[in-house]
Amino acid sequence: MQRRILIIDDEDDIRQVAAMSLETVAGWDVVTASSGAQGIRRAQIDQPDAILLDVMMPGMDGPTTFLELKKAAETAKIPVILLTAKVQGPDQKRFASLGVSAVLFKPFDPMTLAQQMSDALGWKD
Amino acid sequence: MSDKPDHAMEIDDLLQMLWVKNYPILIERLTSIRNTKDMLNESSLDDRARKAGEEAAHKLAGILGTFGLPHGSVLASKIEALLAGDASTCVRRAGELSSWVQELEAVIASRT
Repeated sequence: MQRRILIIDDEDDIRQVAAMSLETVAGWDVVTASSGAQGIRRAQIDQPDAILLDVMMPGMDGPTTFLELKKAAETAKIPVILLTAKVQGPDQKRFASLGVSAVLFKPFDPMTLAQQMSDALGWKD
Repeated sequence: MSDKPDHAMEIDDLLQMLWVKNYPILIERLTSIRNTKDMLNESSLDDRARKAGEEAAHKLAGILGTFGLPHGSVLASKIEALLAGDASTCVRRAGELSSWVQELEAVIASRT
């Protein structure tokens, strides 16, 4: 099934590699945003099937962006996967308590990122 | 002839293209870490420079493994964790930092 994914990450290289990976391996349609605020606007406009959201961003960070997405009716039901290089215990507990669909870790394998997302979201196609 | 699946070969080619495209920013981050290490060795490290080095290391930790350099991500994570500590820890472990930075430079150079 054709899916649309929104990647929100302030780092150009991560956005480019993740987009390339999801487009090439899974054939998904990918849109990107370089900040939390821009990502919220893109989510409202593009209505993606899922959002891959970086945790550490200047300005509005990932957890804050997630909470804003959940507040708005038009984006509240879009599943969100956090992407982070932080792996310390307190961070994991904090992320789990937010209610995100999954937490994936950087560095990711571009060959398996789409499968990891599908597994996390229960997508069978 | 390679027996890699088509996607793997395509991903390899695209990764190489993105490596070249993003190489300047990767080197910029490495330079930031090197500057932090130099300032620490010269006893002139301030919080701003330490934070800049920590952020640069965090970003490298998040991407180098994706570019096929998992040891680079491990080294960058170690540097990030060290620079996240207090000033006295940074001073005490300056030798380790220098060694890791040197190793990180070699890892990145090996991909190019």
